[in-house]
Amino acid sequence: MARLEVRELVKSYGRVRALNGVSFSVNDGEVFALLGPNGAGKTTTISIILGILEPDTGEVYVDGEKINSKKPEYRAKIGAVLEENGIYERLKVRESLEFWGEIYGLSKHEIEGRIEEIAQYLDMKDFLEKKGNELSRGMRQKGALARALLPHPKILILDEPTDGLDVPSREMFKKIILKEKEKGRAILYSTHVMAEAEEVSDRIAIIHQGNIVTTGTLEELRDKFKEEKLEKIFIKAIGYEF
Amino acid sequence: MNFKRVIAVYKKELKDSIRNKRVLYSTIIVPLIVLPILIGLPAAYQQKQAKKIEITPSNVMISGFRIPGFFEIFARSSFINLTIAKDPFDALKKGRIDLYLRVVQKEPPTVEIYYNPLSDASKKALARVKLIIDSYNNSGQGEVRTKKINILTKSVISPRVMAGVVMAMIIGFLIVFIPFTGAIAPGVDSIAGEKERKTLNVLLSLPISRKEILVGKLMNVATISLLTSVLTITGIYAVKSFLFTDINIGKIQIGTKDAILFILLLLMYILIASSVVIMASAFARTYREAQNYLTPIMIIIMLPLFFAQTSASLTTPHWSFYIPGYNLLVILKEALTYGINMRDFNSAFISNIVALYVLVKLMTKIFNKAILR
Ligand SMILES: Nc1ncnc2c1ncn2[C@@H]1O[C@H](COP(=O)(O)OP(=O)(O)OP(=O)(O)O)[C@@H](O)[C@H]1O
Ligand SMILES: [Mg+2]
Repeated sequence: MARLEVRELVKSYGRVRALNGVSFSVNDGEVFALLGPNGAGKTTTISIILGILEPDTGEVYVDGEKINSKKPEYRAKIGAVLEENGIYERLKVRESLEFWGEIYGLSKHEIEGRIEEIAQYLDMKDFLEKKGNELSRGMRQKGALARALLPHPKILILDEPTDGLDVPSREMFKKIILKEKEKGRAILYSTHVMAEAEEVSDRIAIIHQGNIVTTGTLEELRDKFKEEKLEKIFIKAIGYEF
Repeated sequence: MNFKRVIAVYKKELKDSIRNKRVLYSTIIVPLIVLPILIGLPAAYQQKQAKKIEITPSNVMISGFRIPGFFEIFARSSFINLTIAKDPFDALKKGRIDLYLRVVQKEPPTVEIYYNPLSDASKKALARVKLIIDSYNNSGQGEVRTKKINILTKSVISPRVMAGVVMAMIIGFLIVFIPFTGAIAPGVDSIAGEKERKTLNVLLSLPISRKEILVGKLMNVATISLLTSVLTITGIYAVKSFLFTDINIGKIQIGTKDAILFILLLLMYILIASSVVIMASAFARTYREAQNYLTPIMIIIMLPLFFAQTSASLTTPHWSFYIPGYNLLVILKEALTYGINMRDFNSAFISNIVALYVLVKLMTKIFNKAILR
């Protein structure tokens, strides 16, 4: 049974059809990349999984159970880094993390322990006591990743997590993602950067205009499209001609 | 200084200002619509009342000794309507009669005139009656009249009640206004601010329901609003001796039970005001948009208060206890004068519960529907 499964999601914003029957599943210990250009529907898909948005039709299953966005408990199994980092401007990073820990239902003791571990893991000791409005973009993104890791989530959802980060920070993020995969988490990784998808993912779904146009391991995609580079595969898959 | 560049800045600023809805609001809507309504309506109402008093005969009751010819001069006047009430003092307080004359002594003829200083009609009646007695005293009435009539003017309202009414008018206004203003800053920030700073989506992605988020936020906004109200009352209390120079503060009393009932209504009102602000906040996409929604709401809330300021009457129509916010003011007036009437309190309590229920439902609905991306 897949840890996370998405079935035939359809979603429109007014007249704009953002998702047109999106289905895929993510298993434990794999990184599943949702690769698509701007406006493809990546964030919409993720928002539906997290119950932020309701789909018009279609379902999301976590551990085989259909989610109900009004019953938030399933989200305790998920850690997410969204387009917005969600760091509170007037709270210290530590205070933000403590708040999120409480929402995740962790005890005070567990929260303090986790904050120490994660601060070590993500190298964020020197800004734990800073307020949100004093942070750089990279620091904020680390804060968001720290939040996602806080509850030891079974599922990790990352929406373009390296967007706007410098090279060392990107490298660090990639390393962390691979480590988390080794710990057996099911990871959904949305990106429009080919190289990233190539490097971190086990399977790739190419999403375009609300449709998953193809899914497979990098090898399978290479075979299918008779191309070596993911960039070329991508262009063929979404049907661009030169 | 290059004047061309100055002009370029000026033109760009002007364009920006004209397209800014807030500027539009404060330069056009407020001066042309809001202020005229806010100032004009109560003034027009007051004028109409004054005119009505001017043309309506005063209801006067006379009792006591008979002075020959005395009764008749009033019966003859077209401005006086002689009536009888069972309990003239109560009737005077309630506005059923405007003046009560009691002839307490025949020789020398002495009349006590009871009036209600809280009623314009009563004050008018007093002026009329005094005029009539004056002309009676000054005109030659032949041998019938031997002595001039002495007048003793007395207020039917005790100093304590008088102080209570004035106090209720002054702090009642603040009591309705302050909880609302106190709720605005945290309330607008609570949802619209989180949307704007992009922290709401993240909060929604966590294992917490929207209702839980909303209730937590409502509790915070109500706390801040309560704090604002308490501090305002403290601040006023500190300068009370300067503020209330024409009333005898020492006379003001409020019973323990009435104080508790009033605080209960105040707490409900704080929740109502907080819900209104949070609702606007949930509906808006940005902080500023939320503030824009709140300005007209503020004005609607203020309007009955302006009317309340124009008359310090003791009698309150029962329907006013059904209006949340306004009922707080009229209950306060009761508490500071003759004590809270339980029937009035129950109406206020029930209508507040209904208002709160509807607001919370609406608020939840709006928050659930809010497009958060
Ligand atoms: N709140 C909204 N209102 C209207 N249309 C929207 C809204 N959010 C997204 N869309 C539309 O839905 C489509 C999918 O958007 P989405 O944000 O899911 O794409 P994405 O793959 O995350 O893109 P990006 O890489 O730019 O983040 C786009 O056409 C977008 O214009
Ligand atoms: Mg996106």
